[in-house]
Amino acid sequence: MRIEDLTAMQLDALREVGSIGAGHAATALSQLVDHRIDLEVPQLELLPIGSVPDVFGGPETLVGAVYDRMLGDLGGGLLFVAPRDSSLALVDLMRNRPVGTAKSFGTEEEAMITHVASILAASYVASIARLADLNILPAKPSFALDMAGAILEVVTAEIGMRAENALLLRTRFFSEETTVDAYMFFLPDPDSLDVLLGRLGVV
Amino acid sequence: MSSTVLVVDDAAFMRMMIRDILAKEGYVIHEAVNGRDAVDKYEEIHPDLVTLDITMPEMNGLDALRLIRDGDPQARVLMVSAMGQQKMIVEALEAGAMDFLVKPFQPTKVLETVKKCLQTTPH
Repeated sequence: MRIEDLTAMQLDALREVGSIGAGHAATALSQLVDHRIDLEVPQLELLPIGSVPDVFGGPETLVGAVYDRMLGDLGGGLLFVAPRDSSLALVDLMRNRPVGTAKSFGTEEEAMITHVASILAASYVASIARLADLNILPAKPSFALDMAGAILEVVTAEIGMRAENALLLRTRFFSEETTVDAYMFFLPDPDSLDVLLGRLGVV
Repeated sequence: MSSTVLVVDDAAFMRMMIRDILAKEGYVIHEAVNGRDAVDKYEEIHPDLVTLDITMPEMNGLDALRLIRDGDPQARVLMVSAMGQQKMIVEALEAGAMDFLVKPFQPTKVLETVKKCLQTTPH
């Protein structure tokens, strides 16, 4: 399936997939940090690969990112991205201490963010698996603190987004009580799009 | 007479899923595409039940729930959302929702819950 050929109903179904995945990830996050977490209406974007980093304010923005490959009936990946400050705020919330305590990324902070992101990824794919009646598991997550441009380049290359355009399903989580601002990207590889849409009955 | 249900979701795909499940059982379905549209359609149609998503553009489902119940304290509203956070479920029930279905759902669960809501007197 060429991304450019998706019908309006197929795009809508994919957006709903993202919405359900993100809703469950938000529930998991709210349980982890014991705060209410809100979601923006998920955005499904068809972007030229080169402009993907602009989503985060430009290719040079420093972000914390955790990438998980999907295994099983769907291939592709899940990418959790949070600006540096929000990543550190998440670490503080997880450790039940005032936001602003963590100042930099050490081994412990990396482990904590990777742990949070892997739980979000697991709830995200579990809900999609139930919706589409598929077996999907996240693989071992990996963490990087780097410029948004560098991270997205590595990820899009790895899942074989060789086309000129990338399909990004992005959701922003936020909490009014705190300063968590994070994004979850669902990036099925092109073959898996067919599988997913077929299972949802919108071929 | 068949019961009328107003299905509210910003995703056409999800409205189609719910409509297919309910229409097969003889329910008459109307649709709204966001919270604002739901409030307007409710006043126009006065359905027997509203199924209401939460995360939607223009107006979210929780705000729409409050406006619908302000206009008609007897309105029957069933929340259908992937946002299954305890605090959000409690907020919806306190605002007058009769029940809360977490997406993704089984068709039998939808039918069962809709039937239960229609048989219950709104409070």
